[in-house]
Amino acid sequence: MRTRSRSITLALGLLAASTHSAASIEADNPARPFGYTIGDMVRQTLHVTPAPGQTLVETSLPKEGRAGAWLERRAVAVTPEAGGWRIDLTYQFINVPTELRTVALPAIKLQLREPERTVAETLPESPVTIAPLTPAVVLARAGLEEMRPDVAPPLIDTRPHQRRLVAYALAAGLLAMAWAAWYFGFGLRGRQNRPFARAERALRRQLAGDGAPATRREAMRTLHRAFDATAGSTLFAESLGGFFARCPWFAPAHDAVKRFFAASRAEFFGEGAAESGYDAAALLVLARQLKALEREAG
Amino acid sequence: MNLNDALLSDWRAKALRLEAEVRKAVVGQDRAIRLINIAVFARGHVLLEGDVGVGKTTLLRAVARAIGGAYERIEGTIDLMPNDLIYHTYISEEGKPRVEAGPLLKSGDALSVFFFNEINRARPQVQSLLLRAMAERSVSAFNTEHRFAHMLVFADRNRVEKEETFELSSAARDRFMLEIPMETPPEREIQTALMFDPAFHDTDRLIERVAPAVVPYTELNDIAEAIQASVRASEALQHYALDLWHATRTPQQFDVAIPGVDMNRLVLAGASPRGTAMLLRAARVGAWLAGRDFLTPEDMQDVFRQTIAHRVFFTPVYEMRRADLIEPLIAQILGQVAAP
Repeated sequence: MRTRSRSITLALGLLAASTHSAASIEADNPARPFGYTIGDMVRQTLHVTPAPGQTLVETSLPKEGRAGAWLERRAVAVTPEAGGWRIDLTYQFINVPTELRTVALPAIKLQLREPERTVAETLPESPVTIAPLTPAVVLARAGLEEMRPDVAPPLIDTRPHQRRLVAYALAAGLLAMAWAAWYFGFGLRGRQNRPFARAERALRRQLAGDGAPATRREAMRTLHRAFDATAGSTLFAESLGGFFARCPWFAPAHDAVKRFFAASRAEFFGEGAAESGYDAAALLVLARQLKALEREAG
Repeated sequence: MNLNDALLSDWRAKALRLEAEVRKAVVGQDRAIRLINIAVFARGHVLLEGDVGVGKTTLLRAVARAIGGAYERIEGTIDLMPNDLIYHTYISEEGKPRVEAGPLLKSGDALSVFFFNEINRARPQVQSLLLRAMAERSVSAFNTEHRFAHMLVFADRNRVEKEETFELSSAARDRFMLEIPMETPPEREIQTALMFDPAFHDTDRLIERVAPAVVPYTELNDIAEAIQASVRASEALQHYALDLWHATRTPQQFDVAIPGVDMNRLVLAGASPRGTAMLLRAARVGAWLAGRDFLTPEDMQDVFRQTIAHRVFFTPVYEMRRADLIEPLIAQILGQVAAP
């Protein structure tokens, strides 16, 4: 609750008074003019009511910055209001005396412009008292020493964070376990999932039906894909040497594999496999042999 | 049919003889010789690329001598103009100005090999004249159209220098059937021979070892057509060839991956239809030289790098690293596209 401590109406001079009604500055001074010490903020609000035709000269407004030995003006804000302007001033005590002392919020001098001239309005200074933080002589009693130990910083409550961390860790662990189950689960079932094992199963299915040339071609393709998967890239008759060097465990099937590639070349690119004597049975035998070698290699 | 078969096998012997003759002059380059032989019988132009002094010119001269027919050469220089290929002017002994046919026209229809040395030193104007000569085997000059039905263009380009050179445009490179990289032979014995054997120091004498005109060059076009007609491509092989082509355009669809490269942004333009046609022509000749009358995937792989690598264009950000990226890309494509 701010009391209107002071209300000033200034006559603008006798001559002017006859032609102009007077302007006025009223101040809402601080709630209390006492009990301040260094660092305290003091707010003062001015209400400027101009006479008709008067405008505020902006350059005459108080400036931010040092205001005397005791105070610094921290902020100056002008807002229009009904019938004039409102000026909010914020001061801070930046100095402290050795004993209780009366100082003053500085006087404010504003200029108002009229069509022909400029008139000045003045708000006198407002006294406030400021007190020191410590007595002049420090008593060497517990709690009143010159320097107290540093206050420990207040601790932030980390329990919500801890709870969240535990929850996320659990979720990540579950996810990792699920992934591991998926990944190694396939590994455990890899026995059936190796290229030639898969191909052999597919071949049995494909060749169970008729022995038509189209079926045999499809079966040959299946076996080719198993070779490609084992080699890591597409495998052709001419790159077989490198394949056997990299996967020596297939060496016992060397001749059979060569025959297969030759037959496949004839079948797909040449004259046809009819005369090569390569039939479904031979294909299945080769697939079984490769599957066995693959399993032995681990 | 039988007659044709006999003719073709007869010609195969001649083709192998051509290789043998060239090998007398050029050692340690059997692969390059085979590829040039393929180009000769596929009627395709050849661009040799390699360091200075690995024997590019010697190899091409030896091949030209073995093929027979007229042989012309021109050195690419920065001030060479298209007209320099067509005519040259000089003051005759009688003191009169004379205009005579230039290297491209001088031999007329008998021209079998036109050798363009250091092609990347010639200006784009010259290159574009050559484009027409290569694609249509004809040029317009002196108000008539001159045809050279039997001409093959052999060009070479050294890859060391970049000063005062003009990079061949993509259209120009697309005209060449094969782009053959030539390296110093890695074998120590051959290197020793090249260093110490005086026979290799005199190029002219070396070239004279090659028996001239071992193949009748005027019949090459007909034989080339016969080869193309006789070598069969099965359905599975056509499928494989198409996959190879598509893999040069959208490698990511064939699981081709190069570490550190965004495959979706690598290829700006894959091989052209002309490029794939040349791939097939070259592969068919390869099959024929191997004594087969059907194509196998190995025939395609054998010439894939030389016919396709210079027809794949990368996006600008990767084009600067072409030399590092093209080999892995080609190897990956061959390793990922499956057949049959």
